[in-house]
Amino acid sequence: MPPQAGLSINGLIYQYTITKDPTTDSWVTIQNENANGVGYILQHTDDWSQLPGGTISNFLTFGDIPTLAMGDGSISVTGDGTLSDVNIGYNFKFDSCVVPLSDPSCPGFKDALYQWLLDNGLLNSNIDINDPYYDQYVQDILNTKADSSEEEIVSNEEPKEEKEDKDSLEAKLSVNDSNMKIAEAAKQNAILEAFRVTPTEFNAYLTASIQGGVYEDNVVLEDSTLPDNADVMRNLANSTLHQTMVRSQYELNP
Amino acid sequence: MLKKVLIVMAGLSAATMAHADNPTIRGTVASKCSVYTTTQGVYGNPSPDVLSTAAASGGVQPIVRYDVAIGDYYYGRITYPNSFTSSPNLTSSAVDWAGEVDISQVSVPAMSAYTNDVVVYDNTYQYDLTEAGSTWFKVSSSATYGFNQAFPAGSYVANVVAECIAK
Amino acid sequence: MKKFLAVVLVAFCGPAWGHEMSPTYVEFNPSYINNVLKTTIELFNRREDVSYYEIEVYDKDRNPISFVADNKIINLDYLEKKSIDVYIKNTDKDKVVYVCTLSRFIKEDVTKTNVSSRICSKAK
Repeated sequence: MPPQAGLSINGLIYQYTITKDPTTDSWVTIQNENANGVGYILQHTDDWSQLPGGTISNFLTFGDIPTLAMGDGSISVTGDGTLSDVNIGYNFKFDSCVVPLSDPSCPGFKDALYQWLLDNGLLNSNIDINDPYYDQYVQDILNTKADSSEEEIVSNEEPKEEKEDKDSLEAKLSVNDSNMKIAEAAKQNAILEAFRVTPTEFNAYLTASIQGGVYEDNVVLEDSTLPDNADVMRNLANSTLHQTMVRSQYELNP
Repeated sequence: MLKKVLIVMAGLSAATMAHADNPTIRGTVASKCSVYTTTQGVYGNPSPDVLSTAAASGGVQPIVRYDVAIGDYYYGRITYPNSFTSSPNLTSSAVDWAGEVDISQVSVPAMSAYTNDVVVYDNTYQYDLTEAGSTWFKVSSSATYGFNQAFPAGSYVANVVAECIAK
Repeated sequence: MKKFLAVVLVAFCGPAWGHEMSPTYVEFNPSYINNVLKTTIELFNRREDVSYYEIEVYDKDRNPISFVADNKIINLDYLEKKSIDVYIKNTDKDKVVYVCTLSRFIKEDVTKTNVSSRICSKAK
């Protein structure tokens, strides 16, 4: 068996021919020894008792057995009968995650990667937290952050004045605080009564007038007579050549 | 207030989405018979007046496989040829046909006992498929043309019929 | 996620072409037409060399019984599966014993000895 870690066997294909007397008992056993202990790790028996011989072809499946646990295999007959044309094969399965570093999707990949980086000196594991430079560097970073937070506070104060104006407009238009009023019938009636009265601020819309008018045409075509084009008269004299050419296609003897 | 409402609704919908039915895969095993042709037959021509599927004659025996899901529901019936489905014109109809059907391979030892209970009539062999699994049957066929007559040149084709009949 | 690599040694199987039909026992039930019974069979073609199957209905003596289906000879490509409805007269219900499908070859496609396959289901 190949000694690869992660290699296991989960199937057995076999074929053989048994020649025997149909009236006798016979068993054929296919087995593999347990390489790590006593006995057999895999065993399968075909019962040919009181049956005529013949050729059998079968495929067995079972749970994964590591190849390192599979010892020597054998096929044997118990009772009457002789075997011939024996073929036995194994179905292998390989788990690539037996080496976690082989694939990021393997479980334990991060820990294995960390250990590998550590073993190969690619991680800085000697950080001295009492190093003054280290402290100063950290402090600089902290200071930078503190300054920026003050500026943010200043910038945050400015919109508040605008917010107050908005609040007043929002307060006028919102109904958040008036939910209870809306729910109460009496107060609803009072609100409806208030709507019935047209606010004076709307009067400006009712009395506004928009300047209109008529757009007159700027371009006017005056009627007149159209004179003949004298240049055309001149060109007409040259059209005899054209006429000759057209007529030539109808001549029987050009 | 609106923000609070939105957060609560998101929480409710997340709770709804987290609850999921376990999908199931259903299947049934029912009695079923499937007939497969694993080897097509070929006639060899060992002598001018003989066509045969025997390996010694240069032929190939057709092999048919029966797969039965549950035993004792089907008969397997195989008929070897007793006429050509296509051939050149034969001057005489005196073609002597012979044939045999036998078990070639089994997937379960008990299937080798099918030969004990085979029923043979005309050119048909009927087996009682009492075991679940696969059984391979090989068919031998030979045709002899008259008395010392040679088969004309051409293509000869004959049919093996493999049937699976429910009990 | 584990990756698995399976290696299969020694394949004893070569190409095999099969014909499958189910169910084993068919049941004729009333159809939408008066006095006509219907059953449904499923046919699966795993034969590369066959594209046509003929439906047959027999009594116990293998005498043919008249029936109706969409087509009596069905075109089924390789690895295609079809459900076929078979209709018989109500009066024939007790006579029908087998509903079969038989593989059919086109003449010009036949070049060597072929194996015709027939699978029969029994009527309940």
